[in-house]
Amino acid sequence: MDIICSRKDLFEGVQTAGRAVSSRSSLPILSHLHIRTEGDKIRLAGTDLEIGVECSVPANVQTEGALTAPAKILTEFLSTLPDGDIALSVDGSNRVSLKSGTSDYQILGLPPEDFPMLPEVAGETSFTIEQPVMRTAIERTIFAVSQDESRASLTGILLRLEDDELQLVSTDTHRLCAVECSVSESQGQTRSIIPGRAMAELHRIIQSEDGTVTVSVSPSQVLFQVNGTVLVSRLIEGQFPNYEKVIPQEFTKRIIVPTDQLQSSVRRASIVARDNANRVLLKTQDGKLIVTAESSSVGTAYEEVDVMIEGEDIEMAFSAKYLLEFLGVVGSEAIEMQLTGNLNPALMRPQDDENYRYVLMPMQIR
Amino acid sequence: MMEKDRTILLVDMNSFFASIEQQCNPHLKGKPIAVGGPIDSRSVVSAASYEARQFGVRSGMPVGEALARCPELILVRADLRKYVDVSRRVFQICGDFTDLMEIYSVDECFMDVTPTESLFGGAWNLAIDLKRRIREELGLTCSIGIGPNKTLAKLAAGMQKPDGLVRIRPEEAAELLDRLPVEKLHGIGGKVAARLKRIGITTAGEMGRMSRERLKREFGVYGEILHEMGKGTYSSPVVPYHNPLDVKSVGHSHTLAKNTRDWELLERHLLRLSEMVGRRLREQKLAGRTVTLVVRRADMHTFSHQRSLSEYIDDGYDIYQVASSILHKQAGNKHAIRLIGVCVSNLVKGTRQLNLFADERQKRLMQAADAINDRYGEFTIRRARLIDIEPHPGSTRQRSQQLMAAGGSM
Repeated sequence: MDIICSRKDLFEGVQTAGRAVSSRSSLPILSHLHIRTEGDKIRLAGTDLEIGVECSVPANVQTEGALTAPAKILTEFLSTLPDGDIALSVDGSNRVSLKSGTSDYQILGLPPEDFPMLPEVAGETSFTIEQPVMRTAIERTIFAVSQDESRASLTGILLRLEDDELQLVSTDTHRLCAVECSVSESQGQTRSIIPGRAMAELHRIIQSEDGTVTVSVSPSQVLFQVNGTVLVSRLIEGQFPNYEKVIPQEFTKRIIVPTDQLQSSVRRASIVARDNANRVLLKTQDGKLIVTAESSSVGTAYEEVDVMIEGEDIEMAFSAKYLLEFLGVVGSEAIEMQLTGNLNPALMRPQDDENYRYVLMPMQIR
Repeated sequence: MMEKDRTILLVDMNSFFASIEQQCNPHLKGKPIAVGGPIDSRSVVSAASYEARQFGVRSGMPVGEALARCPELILVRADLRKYVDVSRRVFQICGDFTDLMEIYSVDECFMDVTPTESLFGGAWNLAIDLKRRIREELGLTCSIGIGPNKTLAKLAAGMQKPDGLVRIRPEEAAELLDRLPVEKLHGIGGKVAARLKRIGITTAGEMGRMSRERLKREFGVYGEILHEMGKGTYSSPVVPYHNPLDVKSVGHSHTLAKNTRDWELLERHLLRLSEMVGRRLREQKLAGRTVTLVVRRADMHTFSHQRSLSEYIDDGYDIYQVASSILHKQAGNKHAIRLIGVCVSNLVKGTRQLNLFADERQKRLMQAADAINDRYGEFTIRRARLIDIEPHPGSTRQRSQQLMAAGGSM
């Protein structure tokens, strides 16, 4: 293999594919990137066997072929190299040559045929979704993905496809995020759990404001195609909890709250709440939402926000952190809170968008 | 020794172990009973009912002698678990009157009611109220002594038994102490009394009149205390075992009767200890998210491992599951195990994030079990797996730790 490629293009490709490379890999080959020629492009691939990323960059291909090189070395080398063309080639003993200007490096590679290439994802389920739609859906769910490895099925986002309707759901058992979005060209249906990390990488890969993401799901894997980049991830095995039964279907009280004001009030009150399990108290009175917090070691906090209330006044305690995470991504001028009792889950959503629901369990005051 | 206006109570449960047995078994009421170890002629009486005391049966007396003095004496095998449990309830009631309390023994505690007595219409009314609650809620009587310090409160409590209430006012102290033999004062044992006698002191009054310097020469620092005691002004603070706000962790451990490699047995002990920890957390409205397992091997090598969770827990079974998984990961199979313990830390008080998927039935079950055990004693209702594991209260040290813990929970 013998190619010439711009430093900028190659660096971008190495960074993208390198995202899938784990620094704590037990197999040496997994710390390498696989680079191969394909027409007038090269394709770069990296994997940690849980997720894999493959992308293309334009290149002037002199001789076809493939090589591997350590991802970390490539990244460090390319990050300090001045812009210009790079000649990349490999000899029969897997020695990779990188030449640019007066720099000349010989890096030890590994046999490219040892590299575990990304699997073909052959599934009956597939669909296409607008890139910005997917991006927003990930932002609105990923913060509630559980970090608790002891319940693996909660460490991912549920991808549920039925007809042309896609639902993304995440929960850490204290709160739940559910986003509905429309897709096109959908085939089959699925309920798959995709690791939170894979969704975070997908979010990073989706850069443009237009274009689509093509998704294919097999029983054990999922494949996302974004422009020329491919992300493959294994699915999380196990049963996602029966989340539908915890989404409140009715309510007795409803409050419309301006997002920004609530967000800044809760943010300030949380300075005090930090020492008291992050607990803030929300109370309605005379058309106002009163946010308070107290801590025996810090003091007290009091905030008022003008709101619209239907139904009786409320008094409920919530985790400031959980409120703020939702308010940070809701992206709407006002939110609607639907409530029943002070120990029952609260449903929150953007006032103008029924396709995003945040179900938050209150804190109990004992 | 600067504070002059304190009001201290000593609550002394009357014939505690025997009264509990009489309360539990109505057939024993009004009869001479003695509580003791295994019933054979070599064991001794650890507590006697007032009915038995009339025959001269005393604590520490060999069972044979007790039976000789009182042929109708009914012997009851001591159930320390029950006594510790009732003791905890007594102290819980006391804790409703002040948080400054020092648990002195299984059936005695000092209470400093200086800051709270006015809320109850004065110390005398407070004591009447306290006696009534102990009688109504537990069916037991106690003697309460009220005094300006611990020495006089203790003295007052001993003046009327059973079911007594005596107050010694500061101005009455001098007269009372004047002819009181020194050994009647709390804290003065036979050896000290003998030494006092050598320098011509037999009564508390004489001790108070003897100069501070003279007593100091004889007894060192302790001489000053003796001088104050004799005057009735010695005032040591009532020390709560710990400030409940400062509870950093809740734990229990158990030394096995025999070193073991029996994992099933270890797990069952772990489950029992975890349930105990869960109970105490819930009693104190605490929940924690770090579980620590402590294991001491037969060779005395001791290690602990902990795991932090994303969620605060207070259910004994949840605690057990974490502790048990640590046990399996860390303990290995090579060594026999001597002691096992579990502890929950990283606590929050009075608040808890609720769970969307919480099993409501499980929660109600736990509340019902708590209510039953609150009323009838720990482990009255328990998991089937713990049925044949005797939740005995362990060593004396463990019992006093439990008592201290109970004191701290108020």
